Amino acid sequence: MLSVTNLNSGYGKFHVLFDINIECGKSEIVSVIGPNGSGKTTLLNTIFGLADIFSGSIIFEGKKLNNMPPHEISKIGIAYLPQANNVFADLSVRENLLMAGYPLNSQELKSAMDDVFSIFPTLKSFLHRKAGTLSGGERQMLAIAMTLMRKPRLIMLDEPLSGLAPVICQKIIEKIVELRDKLGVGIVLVEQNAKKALDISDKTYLIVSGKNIFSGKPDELLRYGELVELYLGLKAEGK
Amino acid sequence: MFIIDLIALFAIYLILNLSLNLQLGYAGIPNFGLVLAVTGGAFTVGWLPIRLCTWIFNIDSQLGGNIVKNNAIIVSQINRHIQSQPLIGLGVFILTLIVAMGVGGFLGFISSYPAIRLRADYLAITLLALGEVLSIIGRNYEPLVGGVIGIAVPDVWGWLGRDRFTLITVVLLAAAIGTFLFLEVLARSPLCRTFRAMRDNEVAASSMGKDVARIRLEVLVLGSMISGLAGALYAFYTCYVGPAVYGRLEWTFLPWLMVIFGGVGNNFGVALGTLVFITLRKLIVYYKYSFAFLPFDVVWLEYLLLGSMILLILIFRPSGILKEKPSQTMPQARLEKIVGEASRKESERQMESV
Amino acid sequence: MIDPTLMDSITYSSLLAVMTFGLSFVRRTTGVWNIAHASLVTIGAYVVFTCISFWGGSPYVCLPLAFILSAIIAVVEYISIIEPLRKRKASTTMMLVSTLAFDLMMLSVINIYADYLQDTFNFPSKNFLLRKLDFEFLGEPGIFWASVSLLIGFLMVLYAILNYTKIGVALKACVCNPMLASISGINVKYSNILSWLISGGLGGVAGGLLPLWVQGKPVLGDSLLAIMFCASIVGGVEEIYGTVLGGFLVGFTQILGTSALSLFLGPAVIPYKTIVPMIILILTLLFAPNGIAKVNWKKILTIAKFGGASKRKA
Repeated sequence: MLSVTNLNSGYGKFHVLFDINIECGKSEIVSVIGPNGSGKTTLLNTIFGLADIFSGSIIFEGKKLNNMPPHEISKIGIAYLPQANNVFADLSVRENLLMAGYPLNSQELKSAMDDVFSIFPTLKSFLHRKAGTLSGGERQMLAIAMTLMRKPRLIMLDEPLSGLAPVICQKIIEKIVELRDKLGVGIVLVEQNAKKALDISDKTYLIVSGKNIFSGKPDELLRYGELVELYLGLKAEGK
Repeated sequence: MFIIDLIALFAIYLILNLSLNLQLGYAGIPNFGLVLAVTGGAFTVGWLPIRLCTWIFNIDSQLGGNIVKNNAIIVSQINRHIQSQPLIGLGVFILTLIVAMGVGGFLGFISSYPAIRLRADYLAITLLALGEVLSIIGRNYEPLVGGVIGIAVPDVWGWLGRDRFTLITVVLLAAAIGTFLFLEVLARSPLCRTFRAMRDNEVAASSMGKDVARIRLEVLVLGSMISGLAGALYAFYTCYVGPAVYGRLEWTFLPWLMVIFGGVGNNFGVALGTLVFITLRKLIVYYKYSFAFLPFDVVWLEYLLLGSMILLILIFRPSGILKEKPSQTMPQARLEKIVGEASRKESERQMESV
Repeated sequence: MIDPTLMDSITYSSLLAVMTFGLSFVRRTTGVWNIAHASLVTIGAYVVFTCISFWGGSPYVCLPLAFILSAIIAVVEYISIIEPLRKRKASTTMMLVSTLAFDLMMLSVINIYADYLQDTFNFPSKNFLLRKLDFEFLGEPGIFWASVSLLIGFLMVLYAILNYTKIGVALKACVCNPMLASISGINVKYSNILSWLISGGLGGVAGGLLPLWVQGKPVLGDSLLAIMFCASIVGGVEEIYGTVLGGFLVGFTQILGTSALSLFLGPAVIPYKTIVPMIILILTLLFAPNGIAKVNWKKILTIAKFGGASKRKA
């Protein structure tokens, strides 16, 4: 579904990613992990047209995304949940969902909101509250709900668990798995919390300093002791 | 005569633009209220010399007792006295310039004090708003500079005789070159490096112990003193001061355009920009009559041209014609020697380890 | 009927508020202080002048034309200058200078046009006052009713747009979080163009009404620029309705305040009324730098009630 091939990208003169290759298909959770500053967010930004591509290609369902502006990319079936500032704080919850479903007409909007409420029923209770007044967990729920408004086939999540209490994290992880299993969505998950990400991924990519130094199944990665310890701070499984 | 006037105008504007370059180019302060200090300097020349000379030459204040009302007669009397007393003329000139610089600096201080902690563009428009204050006062408070009509200024160079304009222009040019050298030396000093550090990254500079607000204030005051000097020189040159002459367009906006065109942060660029614009302007005014067939004043074409030049520069070459040079902490030769020695030592070490 | 000074204040403040709104609005949505806004106001005045000079009739009829022309020029300014500079990551100061250059160009065009009108048709285009073309209603000049209804009308329309239309909510979203807006499918560039269109148009309409009250001349807008900046900062740019507050505060103190002062200090004070906004500006910067609208009145009252030293918020 999504193929990133030999991607070199960055911001202006700043070269961040070097020859990155990523694949994500339907009903698949692909995790992108690595230390801070390796370029994980840049990868997601690049796919969504928010960074500069120096060479390489990004293809989604046969369409080349290389020079598309973000608001066009959002219409072809990909959704993006940024790490910070992922809701419109000054707008109400209802307005947030309205914006997330911007290209939809009123009928599609209604049905999308109904679907979203069935996955996140608590959102209904604070429809008219300003998004900035929600708690961290509630805000994250709203942010994820927003990504679902246009029924994307691929969702990119940038550190959805950061700054959240473990109980909420668990809930969100369950929702993410639910999305893959029930809706057949492909998910690209960038996560600082490598253990949790690896637990639910079908495939993983380890990115360090802009370079892809491992790609494959999570349990394969966990066997590479030094990598895991050095970059992820995890204990290797047997040596 | 055309050339003489051009050089004089060039000198005056150069001083003003260098002041702007100091504030904007080196310290990153967008002074959109440049006109305030200029007006201050000019008004000093409108106010002080006439009163000073009246006192020195014991001119009959029986003439209605109102200096402003009778300024034409009084000034012509003063001028006659000065023609035979060069030292007094010179003295008044220099003293007034010093006071003018003081006034300019003072105005710079009080107009920026409330705004000094503001972000760049807020500071810019605040200074713009406040720049007009003195002009408004000048227009309405007659005793200052004769209200809307303005006031004549004693001709302190009257003793020079016929070649006066040439010699005056030489003096102006000398003042401009002096200012230029002063600022160039300043540009190479550690103080200026502090300015630039502050301009490029306020947070970093203040974490290094530099009091950003105070430095900004100091730069503004110094810059305003120089602007005041420019205004005063212009007033002396034209022998007239009137609030209408000192407007935002001529004394804030045009200097900005000249500095940006020439190259912000580069004094040579500023000189180039000033030369180009002043020449252009003189040419258009000079050949005004060739354009007389146009149903409008040709000076507006000039502004149209200026405006579009600046827009083109901003879009295609925002650093100006001459870019800013990195600051030199030591002479180039010594720098090369040190680098050469260091790389030589490094290759020796590498050879040894092999 | 109404005290003339009060009527003056209300008329002036309403016009000032509507004029300044555009300035604050584009600042809020695109981060640019548009100095050329002054010329957009002047252009509105000249559209009305042209209409009544050639075709007679009431100045009010030509207002929609003033809106359209100023709106178009504002959009042209945005697309040809502001957007390219933003793409090149120009500093805020340089953007300011670009609006200044554009203002200079617009001023030149206006002057050339005014010169042409004067020379060719003998219209008093360099200095005109349209008061005699105004109507009277309930004892007050039409401009009074027009300026107040303009203000109220535009506020209502703006409120409706921002809260009840998708495009209006999108505008709010773009101001709040432009990156999130674009990944949600909102074309931020179009949203910005809309805000410039509204701002320019409103400036034009206010400018079109101005000659019914004060002298119309090529520097009309530019002469009011400093006051507009004062009103904008005093009101506070962050709150969309802060400009109204700023406009009224500045307008009322300028007219009513100066008039009251003249009772104590004599009529010589009157010409200085232009300085009043600047004094207010300085006071605002010293005590409420984010504008009056953002002042935490509750906190101040609490501190005042319970005493104790309160540090000025930097």
